[in-house]
Amino acid sequence: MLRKVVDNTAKEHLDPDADLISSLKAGDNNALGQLMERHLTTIYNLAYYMVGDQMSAEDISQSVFLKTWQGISKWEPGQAKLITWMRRVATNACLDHLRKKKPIYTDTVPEVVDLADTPFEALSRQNQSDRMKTALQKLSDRQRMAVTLSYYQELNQREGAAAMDISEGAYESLLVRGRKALKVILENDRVET
Amino acid sequence: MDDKTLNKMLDSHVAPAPNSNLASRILAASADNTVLEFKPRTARPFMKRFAPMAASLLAVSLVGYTFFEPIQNNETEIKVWQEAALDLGFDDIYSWVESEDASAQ
Repeated sequence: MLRKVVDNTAKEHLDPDADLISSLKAGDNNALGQLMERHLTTIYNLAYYMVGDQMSAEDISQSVFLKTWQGISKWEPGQAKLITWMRRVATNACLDHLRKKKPIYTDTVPEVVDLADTPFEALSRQNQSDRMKTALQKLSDRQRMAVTLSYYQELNQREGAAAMDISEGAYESLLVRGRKALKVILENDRVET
Repeated sequence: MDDKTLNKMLDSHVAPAPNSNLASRILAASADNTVLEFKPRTARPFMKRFAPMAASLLAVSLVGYTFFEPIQNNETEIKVWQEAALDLGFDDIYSWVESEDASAQ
């Protein structure tokens, strides 16, 4: 029993990207290509759910991989998984991006909802994905990050806290408040439409 | 709203796929980064290194010239007037006017 627990802990700490690290340190572009095959979608998705914009998410992904490429010489295996560190870089890049982002003012008039429809018809017409995207953007940056890491990246509490560089308690609190806020936003949204 | 409904709604929001050229864009940028890694200061062109110094020297010369030129002109002017007074025989009066006694009165 004890052996099984120790084995599981060892597996958790085993970096699945350990095979690439020496090639990356040697400046091998193929290794960077393989690293992207494994993690580009993960990092891009994390950035997309955070910033809600495809182009910015791609720029953030690029900066994360370039930082990894440039900083890999200082990477010491055994401390953490490479993907955990990359997620942390992505988290900081997203938060930086959101801090710098200025509001965009537009002349486009929002589409008027036809109130003559039944609530069911109005609800079915509105794209659920768009509603969730809008609701996510209404969360605070850190709550959205916790929800993204937990739900879309399927990280456990320890991994999520490590990616955000906060305590597990703080991460759990952000996650609970984030989910609660999402429910309120979505319910209010349903009442309005 | 219960957790199940919220999860269902979260599921409905799927990130669009990134551009197919994103990976090649990153690879190209990584190659550029290797080239631009480090440039020693001595690699700067001669003109670029000495341009700030030359500009400072030029500025100092201009300031010096504009400051000292009126004094020089003034000195030349005094000499001309002195010579003219001497030529016209008014050198005594000129010396008296320019002397401290006259300015004291």
